Amino acid sequence: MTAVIEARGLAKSYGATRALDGVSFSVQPGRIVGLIGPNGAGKTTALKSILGLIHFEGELQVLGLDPRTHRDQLMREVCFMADVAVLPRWLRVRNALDYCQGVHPRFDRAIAEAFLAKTDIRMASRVRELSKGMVTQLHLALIMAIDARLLVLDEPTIGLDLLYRRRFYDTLLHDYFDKDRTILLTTHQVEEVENLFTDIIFINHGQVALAASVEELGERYQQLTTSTEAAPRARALKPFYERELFGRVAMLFEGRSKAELGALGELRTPSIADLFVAKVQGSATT
Amino acid sequence: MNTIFADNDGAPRPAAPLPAAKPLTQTLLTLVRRELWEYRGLWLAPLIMAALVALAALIGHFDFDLAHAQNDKLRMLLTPQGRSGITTVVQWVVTVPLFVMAAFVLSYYLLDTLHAERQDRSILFWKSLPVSDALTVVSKLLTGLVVVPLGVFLLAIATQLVFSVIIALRVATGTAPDLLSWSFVSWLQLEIVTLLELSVAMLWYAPIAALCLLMSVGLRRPVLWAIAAPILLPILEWIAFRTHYVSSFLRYRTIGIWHVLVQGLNINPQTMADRPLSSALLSQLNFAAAFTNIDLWLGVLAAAAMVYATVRIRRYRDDT
Repeated sequence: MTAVIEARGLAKSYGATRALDGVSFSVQPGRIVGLIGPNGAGKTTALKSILGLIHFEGELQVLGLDPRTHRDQLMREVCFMADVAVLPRWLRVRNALDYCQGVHPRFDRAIAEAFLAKTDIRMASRVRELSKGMVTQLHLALIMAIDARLLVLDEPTIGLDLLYRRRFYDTLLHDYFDKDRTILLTTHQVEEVENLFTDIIFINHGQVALAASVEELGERYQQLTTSTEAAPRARALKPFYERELFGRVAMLFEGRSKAELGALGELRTPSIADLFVAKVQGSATT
Repeated sequence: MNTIFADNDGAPRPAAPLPAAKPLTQTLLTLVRRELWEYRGLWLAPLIMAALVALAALIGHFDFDLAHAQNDKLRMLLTPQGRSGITTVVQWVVTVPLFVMAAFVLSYYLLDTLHAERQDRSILFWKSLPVSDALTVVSKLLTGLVVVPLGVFLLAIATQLVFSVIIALRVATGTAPDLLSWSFVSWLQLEIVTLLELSVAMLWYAPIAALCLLMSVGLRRPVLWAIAAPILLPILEWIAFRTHYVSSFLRYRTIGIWHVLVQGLNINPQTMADRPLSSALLSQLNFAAAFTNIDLWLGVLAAAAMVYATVRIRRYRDDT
């Protein structure tokens, strides 16, 4: 299977800051990949590299093309949506459709119009007259109408209320996503979308802290909840993260069998949010 | 484009061929329309100017009494050649405010356009669509240097028409003196002169337009620099070296070509009696010298280099 994104040793510095420090990962087609990291970890830099918006060191192929030299060709098959503020405020809804129709070979105006008809957005409105949620809907309408193979979303729902956020991800999952399409998504609100992901990439201090499919996570990581008395025995098995809650201790283990841990307490697959906190905090303290 | 990777063993290849791009003309047309959506002043300002010219024709006060003209020169204006000359001058004067206004809005447009898209972060949207940086920059240059000037030229013709109709109505009602005599040949001759001048201007001002785009893509405050630099640089030069090279260079690059154009122009009442002004202008203005001027073409070369630099800089410009 040909990877949609293949990155090897991506590096990018802003002055003395190394935003990306030898990042390698690959993204397979038909996956929904979460690129997760704390602020300043290098998420947006990685996305901008993939989209050909910035220069970088290292090897990177997106749909077989180098984004540094082939951004315009690449964008025939890649869609990108940053947070709501990037649609120009002076643009009319009708003209946004005109523009995409005029420059994009895979834009189907009828789809965008049908999508917009289900919203309160009027064709004659300017972006500046729309609410934040409506601007996101407009951008989503444009993206839905483009038959792309890779969709890159950078904090797409930042600043939206819960209803808009829920509707946004529902549309994405049910009306947009299929096995030929790939979605790469960064977000702060991990808890809200963690059921969406098929794969996750944790990025911290410009490096990949963890890259795995959700199935692999279930096999590799175990969360053990145990009593304080049993904790020392569990600790001997070298958890990589531990925290106390309500008189009990939760520990995260990597590469331990269920049989080994099962005797010590309750076992479950850790949530992505828990893993993220563990991996990011863990690396911050060591 | 995929051949680049053909000899690179193991490199992933696109599973399906890339969809063909939209036809270039359609993309360019869309990009130019986009510019006119964003910078409505590009067509609104000349339109307002045209309306003002029409208004001036409507309410202007003409204060001379032809019936009792004593002055010899004034009487000469009433000969057929004199009327034709006045008409040509009026035809020219009507268009000047339109082009002057266009020059102002175009300068602002070219300085602002690549800066504004970074400031409002819309560059992230434009760059998410399959339009190359080269095509984007070329579309902006095309809008500023060709589309809008030609549009203003057409608007100027419409304005002349409206102007002459209003004046004719006022002559008929006796509220304006009967000075004009329109002839199709004279009219056409001056339109040809204007179009040739416009072509000279497009080539001569190409480096200034390209410099504006370069400043727009490269500087944080391009408009401020464009105002401050031509004032401060000559002053600094004078303080440092007591010379005036910068200011004379700037002056040359602004109006130099018009000196070339008017070389050998000899228009006085005597020659005007022999042939219409429009015909004299067409034959005497030195377009051959202007179009073969070496500095004009060096400027075009410099413009091409600056456009190339603008494209290269925009390639790695994001919203920061």
